[in-house]
Amino acid sequence: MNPLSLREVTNGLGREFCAPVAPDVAAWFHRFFLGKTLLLECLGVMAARNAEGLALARVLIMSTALLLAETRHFERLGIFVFFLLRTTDVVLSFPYTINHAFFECALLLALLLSDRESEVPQPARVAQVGILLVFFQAGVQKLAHGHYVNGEFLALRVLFDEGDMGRRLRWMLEGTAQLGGLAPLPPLPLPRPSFIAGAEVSLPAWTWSVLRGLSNGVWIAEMGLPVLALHKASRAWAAIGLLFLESFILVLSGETSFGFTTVACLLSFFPELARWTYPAALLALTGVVVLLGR
Amino acid sequence: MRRIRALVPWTILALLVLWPPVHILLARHYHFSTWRYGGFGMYAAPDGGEREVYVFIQDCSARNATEVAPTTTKAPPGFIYRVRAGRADLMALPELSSDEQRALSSLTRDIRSLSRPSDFEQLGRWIDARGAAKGESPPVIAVLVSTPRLDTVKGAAYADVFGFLRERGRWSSVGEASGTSALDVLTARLSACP
Repeated sequence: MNPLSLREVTNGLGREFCAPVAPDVAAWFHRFFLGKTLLLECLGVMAARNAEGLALARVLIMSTALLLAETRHFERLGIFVFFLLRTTDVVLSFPYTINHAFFECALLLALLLSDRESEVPQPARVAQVGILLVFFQAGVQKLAHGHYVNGEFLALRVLFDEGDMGRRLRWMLEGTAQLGGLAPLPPLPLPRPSFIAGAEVSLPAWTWSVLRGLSNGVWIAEMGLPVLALHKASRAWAAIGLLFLESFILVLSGETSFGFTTVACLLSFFPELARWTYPAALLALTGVVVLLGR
Repeated sequence: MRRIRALVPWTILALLVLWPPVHILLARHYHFSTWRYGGFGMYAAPDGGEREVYVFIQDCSARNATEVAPTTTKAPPGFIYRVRAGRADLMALPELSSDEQRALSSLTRDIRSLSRPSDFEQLGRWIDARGAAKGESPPVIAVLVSTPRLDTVKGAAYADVFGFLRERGRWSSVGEASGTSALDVLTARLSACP
């Protein structure tokens, strides 16, 4: 690619980024994003045996804010309430704040300050580029910290994790062993050894290969698919790939809140389908949340 | 207002581009968990909950080395190994009250996940306060933090370890080491009893 065409490409991307998003997408993104925040709050209250008054008050405030955000005159007020509540969560949980809470705050801020009459990128555009950056950076982190190339992060989960992620990975491996007629897994999880003193661990040879392949597949997809999304011709396929990747991560890790946010952002790549995909995704993800017991 | 509105999207995207690489460097240098501080490093490495904290207190009257974990690993000469705080467990000292256990649990949680200098200082103050109640002077303290690792080729568990030492009221790094001999490498740097 010569320098001139590179400039053309980057100029093209810039123009595209500032171009307005279809109003349908913007409205659905906004509705889905606020709706999922309220939904997860409601499910949290329902799951808690003794819901506190404060939690119930939050649900009430969010419900009112969601209704306000649907009106023309009080839209910003409704979004502002969501922004305020999410920011409060971030501040109160800091430094143990979950990563995507920062991203959600940023998206709410973009929604709050959006100006539809100017050429400033709209929230849906920020969501599109933002989610590609989030995936790419997550891949860079996995590569940089060195726990993925040899598959050790997932292997640690398989061997010692008593939680959901370890259980689901073992279930997946056991299924693979049965289907492929491979050596079965030993009884797992093992009691955690003293890592500081060292210990031997054993798994069937094929398991290490699968875990290495899976680990490398995750960071390669996280970094590669956003790059493919930069080009118009491969963008839709990259977004579909990221939706599949996110579904896999969601089921494996149970990170439902991040799953909703990611799906909200990725669906905005399919403007003509927005009125169908957003409600369907909301229903499907609610089902997943209930099934996973999150 | 319009100018601020125009800047917000670009600022958000600039932060998403710039902060994670900076976060990687900071996490490596300051040893905090990759899951913290919004760098999108969740699941990139074990979280603080999977790290373990080993606290050694110098006691020059101690004749026998204490066992660090259910292994053959021993505390460094002249030091007594006092507490190991792992995931949710806390092998607390038997004489600790439940309030003290909670305080220690919270302190070691911060050390495991965040490893800020203030967390080590707080732990030092906590140990001093307990010693002062028994009329003891502030001891030399070494705190080692280990991150679980796995060699998937050899099928071997090992640890990355870093540590800090408090001598004469000042905390200093004892460096970092990796492998099954990491504890020995780091404890060799601790000052011996006179």
